[in-house]
Amino acid sequence: MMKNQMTCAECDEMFLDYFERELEGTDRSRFAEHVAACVRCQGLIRDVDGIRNQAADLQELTPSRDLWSGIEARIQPQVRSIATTRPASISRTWLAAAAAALVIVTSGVTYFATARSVNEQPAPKKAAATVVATPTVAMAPTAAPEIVESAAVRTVTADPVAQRAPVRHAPQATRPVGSTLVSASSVSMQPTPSEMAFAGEIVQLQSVLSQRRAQLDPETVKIVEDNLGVIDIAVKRARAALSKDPASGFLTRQLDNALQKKVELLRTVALLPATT
Amino acid sequence: MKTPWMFCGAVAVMSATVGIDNAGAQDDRYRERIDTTVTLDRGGSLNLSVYSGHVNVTGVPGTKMRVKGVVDRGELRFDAHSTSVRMQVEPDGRHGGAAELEISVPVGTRVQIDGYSAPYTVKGVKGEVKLESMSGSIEVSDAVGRTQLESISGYIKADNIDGDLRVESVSGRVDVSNVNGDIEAESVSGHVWITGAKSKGVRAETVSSSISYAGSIDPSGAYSFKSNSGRITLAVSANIGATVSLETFSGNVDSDFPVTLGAGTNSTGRDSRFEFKIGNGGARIILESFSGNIRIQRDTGRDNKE
Repeated sequence: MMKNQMTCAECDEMFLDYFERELEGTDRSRFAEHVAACVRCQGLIRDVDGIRNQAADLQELTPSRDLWSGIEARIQPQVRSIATTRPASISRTWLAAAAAALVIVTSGVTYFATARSVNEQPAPKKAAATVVATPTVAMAPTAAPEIVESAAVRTVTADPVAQRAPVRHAPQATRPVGSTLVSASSVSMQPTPSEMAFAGEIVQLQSVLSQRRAQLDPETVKIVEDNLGVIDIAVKRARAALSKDPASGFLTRQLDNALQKKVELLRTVALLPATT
Repeated sequence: MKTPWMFCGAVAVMSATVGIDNAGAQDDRYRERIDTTVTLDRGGSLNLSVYSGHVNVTGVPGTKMRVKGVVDRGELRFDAHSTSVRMQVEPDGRHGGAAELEISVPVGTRVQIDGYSAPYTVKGVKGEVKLESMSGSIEVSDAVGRTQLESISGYIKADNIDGDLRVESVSGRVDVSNVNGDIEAESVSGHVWITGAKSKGVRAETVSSSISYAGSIDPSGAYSFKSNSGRITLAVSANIGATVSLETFSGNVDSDFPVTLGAGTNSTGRDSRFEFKIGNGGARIILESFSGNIRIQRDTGRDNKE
């Protein structure tokens, strides 16, 4: 009898079903057969089980009505599906699966939110004569030096001769450091749909990171936290800029991308193997 | 890669201590040496998990796989079939499990390695490669098929890849050269440098670090480069055809190519969006940054590395 051995890639696609106990029949036996012989997949299951055990001690987080009020219409089918097929006891204890499901949902939300924003962008001008960018926001003192350095006014002339020449947009004016500092914390703006959608998962994953800190390599944790700081700066900058121009699809994408990156990094940390 | 299961029953299964000698010297009492050779069919797979140390994997002609090296304060589990070999170094204690391994595998072997701080080099295997490391560096050359490389802080280098490449890093630098296939490269604060690419699809994203791309632009290709605050440098030949969509909030734009403003050009007073054509405009190029500068260079001869 010929039988195909499952690969790790195929196995990866079945993990969620496995942890949800929804693997059946041939898939289940092939999966079990692979895991029994695969060190890598055994390790992954061990790690996720560890996270699940730790997550069992966490309080159940329920999305606020504010979250649903903004996005319910778009994601209701997915949410209903999860709620009706997962026993409540599993949902409480199975944080990683919930996080993964949330990522799927939030990715969809982000996609819809971003797509909508992009679609709502003003139509490009047919023949713009002048393009002037006047950054109106500088960063908090903790921001990287290039942030201030890049606060510049650029002019692109529409002169036909100039258009054919190589373009050099150099800063013509640099805002003095601290002259128009906008602290992200001082920016008052309603959370974007993606911010709301990501918020719950970020809190959950940060909690997992806190709990797993002692098990992880300190240097790795430091690198991760440094990079979370880098992402947070990007989030604050995009948010501050977006507060000045809420209709900007570009800035919305910048914010969404930074939030997405933060979630991805936190998820990576949540699945890191323990050193102890 | 799927392997006919029926072959597994006809192969030798090796485990634990095959080919491993315990050294008797006092200084080596926690050290195990291994020097063993097994048969591995062409197209088979090597799956290795190691905590720390150093691993070199090299592709060689034939159907023999040889493993030579030492394991310090750990146990090497070794399971070999004709179509797959699995090796795992289990640490004895918290700081054990270091392995110095030289492995030669038949050309065409699929190599998968994961570990913590062990640097890996995989050369000339001409098969699919998947490597994951926490802080160890990863170097791959002459792989064929899908190649996936991930590291948190280790340096990642991929050269001469004939197939699609996916690279993920957090803070480690990513150096990609001579890829004949689609490229996806992501990092938070590690620089992403791509040179000599022959790709129809490229997507590179960073948060704070620079991105540099020097390679061909296929007329039907799609290329996307996005960074929040890092510099983006695109170096392409003068005769390409591409429609370039460029958007930045406060970064400067510097192009060797004439920028003819037209449809797709926009300024909302804060961020700026340009869309312009180079040549016949065939390929699609997207360049986006929040505050990083964007440079479009006409030839690939210059060193873009910062």
